[in-house]
Amino acid sequence: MSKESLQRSENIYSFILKFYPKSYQEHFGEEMKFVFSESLKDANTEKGGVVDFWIRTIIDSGKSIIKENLENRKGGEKMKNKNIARPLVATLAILSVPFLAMLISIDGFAWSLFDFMLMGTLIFGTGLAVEVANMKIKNKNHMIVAVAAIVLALLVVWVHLAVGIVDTWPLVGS
Amino acid sequence: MDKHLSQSEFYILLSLAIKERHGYEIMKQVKEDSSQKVILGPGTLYGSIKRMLEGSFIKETPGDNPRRKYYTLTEKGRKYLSSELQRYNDAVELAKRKKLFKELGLAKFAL
Repeated sequence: MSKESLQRSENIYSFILKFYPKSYQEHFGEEMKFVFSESLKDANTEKGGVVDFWIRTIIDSGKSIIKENLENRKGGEKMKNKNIARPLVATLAILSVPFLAMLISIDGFAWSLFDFMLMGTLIFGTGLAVEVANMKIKNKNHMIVAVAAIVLALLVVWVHLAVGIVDTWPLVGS
Repeated sequence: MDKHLSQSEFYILLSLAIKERHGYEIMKQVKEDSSQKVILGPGTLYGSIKRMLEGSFIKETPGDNPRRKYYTLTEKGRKYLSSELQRYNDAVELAKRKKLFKELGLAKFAL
C-alpha cells in the first residue's frame, strides 16, 4: 500500500472519529488512529484485503459511535427516541421497495433474507450516522458535506457489494 | 458486583493477564487467543477499555507516547478474571461429569 493511500485512509478515519463524543476523542482518538493504521497495514497482506477491512471498520465505527453517544451523559445532546425512529422508518420504507417488487414478481429482484439484513444494517447505520451528524455539527455547510460523505460511503459499499469494484478501489492505490 | 464480562472484555482481560500491553497489542493478542473468532475494531476495543477503566478492572500505566498507552490489570481486574475462568472451568467440569460433550456431539472435548 502506498504512503498516499495510507494517508488518505487515515484522513478518512480521522473524519469518522469526529462523530464520537468530544471527551472520548480527546482520551482515545490518537490511540484509535494508531490501531487503525497498523490494522490497515496488516489487512493489506491478508485474505479479503483492504475492502473487507473497510467494511468491518465502518460497521465497527457505526456501532460504537452510536453506543458511545448514547452513553455520554456529561453535557452535550443525548440521542432521543426520534433520532432512532427516523432512520428505522426510513430503512423499512426503502426495503419495502425490493420486497414489494419481489411480491409482484418484477424481474431483477431476488433478494435473500441475508440481502435484506445486510442492506437494512447498512441503510440504518447510515441513517443513524446522519442523525448524529445533525446533532453534532452546528455549521450548516459542514453538516451538508458530512451527510454527503456518509451517503457516498453507503453508495460505494452498496455498489461494491453489488458488482465488485476492488480493481478500481481508490484507497488501495494502483 | 455480580456482572459477567462481555466476550470482548473477557478476552481483553485475558490478554493483560501476563503483561501490560497497548491497544494494538491487545487487539492482536485477542485475535490470537480466540483463534481469530474475535477481531476487535478500534471502536469496540476502546469502548471496552473505557468501560473497564471506569470499572477499575484495568488502569493506564504512564508513558510518553499518546498513540501507544499501556494498560494493565488492577487487583480487582485480576480477581474478576480469575472468577470468570473458575466459572468456565466449573461449567466444563459439570459437562464432563454429565457426559454432555458426548451427548451434544462434541466427543473431542470429552477427555
